[in-house]
Amino acid sequence: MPGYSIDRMCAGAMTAVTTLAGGIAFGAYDVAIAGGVEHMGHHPMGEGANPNPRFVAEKLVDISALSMGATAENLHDRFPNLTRERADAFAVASQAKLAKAYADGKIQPDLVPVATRSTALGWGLATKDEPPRPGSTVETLAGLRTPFRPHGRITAGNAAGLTDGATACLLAASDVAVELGLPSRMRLVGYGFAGVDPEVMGVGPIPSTEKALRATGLTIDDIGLFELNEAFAVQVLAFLDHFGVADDDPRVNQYGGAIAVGHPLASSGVRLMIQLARQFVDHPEVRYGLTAMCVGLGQGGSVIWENPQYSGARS
Amino acid sequence: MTATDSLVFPDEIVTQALVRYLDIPGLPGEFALITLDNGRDHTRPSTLGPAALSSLAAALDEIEAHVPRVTAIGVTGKTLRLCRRCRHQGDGADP
Repeated sequence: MPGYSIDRMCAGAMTAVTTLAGGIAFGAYDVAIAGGVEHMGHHPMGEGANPNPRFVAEKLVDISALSMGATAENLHDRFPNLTRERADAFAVASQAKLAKAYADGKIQPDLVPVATRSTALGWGLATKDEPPRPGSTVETLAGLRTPFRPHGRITAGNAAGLTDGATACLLAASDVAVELGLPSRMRLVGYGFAGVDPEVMGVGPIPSTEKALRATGLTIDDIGLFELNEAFAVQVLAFLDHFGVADDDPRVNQYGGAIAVGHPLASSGVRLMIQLARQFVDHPEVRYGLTAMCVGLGQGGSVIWENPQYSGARS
Repeated sequence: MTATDSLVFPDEIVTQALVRYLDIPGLPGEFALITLDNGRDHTRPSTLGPAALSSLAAALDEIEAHVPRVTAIGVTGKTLRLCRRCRHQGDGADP
């Protein structure tokens, strides 16, 4: 059983999926496990980042590109219509949607309990996500500091928290899944990755989604459910504005997102997919769904999925 | 730990009984988990000296008084070994 690790910062798990899916499509594998793990307490962010020295010495990127919070402030600059008020409102909705998804039992079936240990508290068991703050309101968020810039717009409330996480999923060739009797929750239709200016890395999912749509011959109107990673509210809003989707469109992030649940970088891609798969079950009228995320230092990744439960007409 | 216990072995490396109340998927109510841990790494296994037994008794009393009543109680140790028969005291070599 061969294995390997890959690194694409925020899109680690997503890239594990697309890379292995490519291998399956090529006939190299029948069945593969793709996933990601991140301990954000150990991941150098901002001041602690230690990039390729050429980035700085040769001014390959703007210095703000190394601090994700600063890149999100840059996005607010670039799109003045994306106000802090809109970002905070989106963040509050994310918290509320995740709380509802937990109350409806949509999240728990896909969680694996993990033992935790603390010298001070003894052994524990993590059975649910710890970061959510379900009581958040626009009023409580409005009072938060903007650590990345004086009078800035990015706060702990409208950005994904630093949390630990791990995800995994099983990929199989269609004929192998049938042969082994594996229930299929989604079919990968196509994907795309794109590079963008590192100092506004948050726009990455826009060109990567356009690329994935081109590759699959679909348009944004074909997408019935969106799972957009919420590294920052502003970065999701930039995507929604570009494609003409409302901030509170019910197709978008039905279970909330990283603002509520956290963004352990390399694990988040598969979390988006797991949540989309569960939403597909509840929405047999939807044929296609999109998972997309921005990637630190200037990339976007997008994967388009087909709903096996789709009950409508096929062209 | 009471004053009397600490007098039995004044230099006992005390194994503490730490209590946590956990939600276990599929189990109704709360599960009380006691972790026996002397605060040292695996090279110094936990031991059950007089003060440790006192701590365990206090933990069980606490769980018994807990509202609502727990569904089950579990006892575990730190990594590798639950506990071991060896010197209770001091930092000297393990005999």
